[in-house]
Amino acid sequence: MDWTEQDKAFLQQFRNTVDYDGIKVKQKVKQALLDNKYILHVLNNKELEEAEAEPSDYFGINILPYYMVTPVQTDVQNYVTFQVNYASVPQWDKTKKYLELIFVVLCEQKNIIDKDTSLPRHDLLAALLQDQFNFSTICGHTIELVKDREIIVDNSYAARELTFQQYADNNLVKTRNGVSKLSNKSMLNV
Amino acid sequence: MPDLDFYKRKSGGVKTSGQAHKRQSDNVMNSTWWNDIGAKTAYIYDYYHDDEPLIFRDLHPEKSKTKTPIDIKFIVNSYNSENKDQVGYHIQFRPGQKCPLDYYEESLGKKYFSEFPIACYLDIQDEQGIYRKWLVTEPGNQLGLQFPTYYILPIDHVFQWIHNDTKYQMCGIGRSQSSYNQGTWVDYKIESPENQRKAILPMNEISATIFYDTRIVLSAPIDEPITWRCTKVEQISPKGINRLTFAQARWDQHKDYIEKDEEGNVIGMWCNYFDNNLTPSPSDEPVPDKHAEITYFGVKKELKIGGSYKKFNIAFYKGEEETPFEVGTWKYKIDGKDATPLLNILTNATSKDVEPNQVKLKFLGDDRFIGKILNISYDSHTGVHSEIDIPIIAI
Repeated sequence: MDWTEQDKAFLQQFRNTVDYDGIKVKQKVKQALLDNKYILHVLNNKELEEAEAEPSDYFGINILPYYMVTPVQTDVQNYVTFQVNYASVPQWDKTKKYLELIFVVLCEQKNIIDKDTSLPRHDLLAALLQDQFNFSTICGHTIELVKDREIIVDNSYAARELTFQQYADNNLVKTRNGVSKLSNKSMLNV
Repeated sequence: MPDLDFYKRKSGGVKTSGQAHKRQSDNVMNSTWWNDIGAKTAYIYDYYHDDEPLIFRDLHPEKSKTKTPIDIKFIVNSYNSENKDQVGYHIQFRPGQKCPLDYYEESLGKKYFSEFPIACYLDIQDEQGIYRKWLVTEPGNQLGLQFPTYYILPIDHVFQWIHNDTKYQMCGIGRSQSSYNQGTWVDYKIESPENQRKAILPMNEISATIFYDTRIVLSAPIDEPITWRCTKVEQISPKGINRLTFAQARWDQHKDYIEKDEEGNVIGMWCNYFDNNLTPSPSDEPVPDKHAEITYFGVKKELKIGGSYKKFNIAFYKGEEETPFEVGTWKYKIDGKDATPLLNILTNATSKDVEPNQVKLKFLGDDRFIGKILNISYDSHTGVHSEIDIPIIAI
């Protein structure tokens, strides 16, 4: 199987795709989080602060685009993870869907109180996420916080799960050769 | 008839009969030392003074300038049994033997709180006249005994691993870890290998780079070698020894590498060799006396497309001592071609927070450069050259 530069370029265009919400929304959320110096500060990664790390260095360490924390946790760390799901399409309008953006905030119990505010860190991070995302149009359409609950992960982490919901287009767009079009016009008549 | 003064002189001024008997026993042990069949001259040293670091059999310490001869008694106190680990043996030094290594206290005693001779290698001649390398792993019968002994194990493996793009190798001991399972684990949908092993290494700055999740290859040189991931680190049992436990992991065909010489012989098996498109360099690469080193600020050695500025620093050295900055020229290349148009460069002349020996770079290229390597080099006007390879990634 030959693999050319054109094939690589085809794959790379998915980084900026408008077709697939899993990537599109996650890219916007990632950038929004990295641009939020308050969230980065409250994540409290002393090693990154002392190394004068760029905001993007937090990605992959404290900010994760999936709800999975690896590798072995040998030091005290805090995390903001995010996932993008949709599981249902309204019966009356198949051109729309309920997109969910789920944040799970995990804070190590030993480092749970934020020194600047004396607030529990996971609550403070949840507040910052709500402040940034609730009723915002970062992801294209207005997103709204529909669930905010404290959850138990294990003995070491205090966690909060925030679910934002967006009434979004149901994957109507298809991009070919850099040109995006509605993929099935007949769906608009439903 | 001998009087009290005679006995006082004979006992060397000790105050009690017990002390006098001990002193006499020590003298007898010393004077009859070579009567013992287990008495040998071994050679003792630490990791940094090992001039045959990658072999553990058929050594030649008598020619070494870094290994120190020391008299020992080699004591066999247990025997091997089938399907169990190699048993350890004991060694005994001459009574009152002090540490002959002037570097031990600085490199191990004060740093890791170990007591001589823990964590030292010993070259001991076997009955066939071949020197093998051993490691002193624990006090044997030490405290409270007149003739203390120390527990030694034969080196049976050269451990190889990569840390921060640098290849490391060290002689150590592999031990099995009993795991009463069938060898695989089915986790709902996926079946994985399940096995454990242990390793014993001397504690030092090099072995300390093996930490949780470090992957190594412990395998025969087969097509898909068996890899292991560090899951337990014990560094004070006893002090001076690094005991590591590994769980079996998966061979990563994209990142792991079997290194061969020109004749096709396997000379290394490395995990995470191709971790970020950079070729790791050996830890013992010789460095010229007068040299320079480019380092980066931040925690990751990478430059991001669309990222912010990253600062690089050059420092000059003569030996290990830093010398003043030397004026020179920075160069930037990707695939051998000049990459300056793809960079926003801030120097001391253009930015207040950049020192004369620093430069700040921001990458302006697009996604086509994901996976490429930016080579940053510096040539001083006195001819000192240094370079560093930085992977380009996307945020």
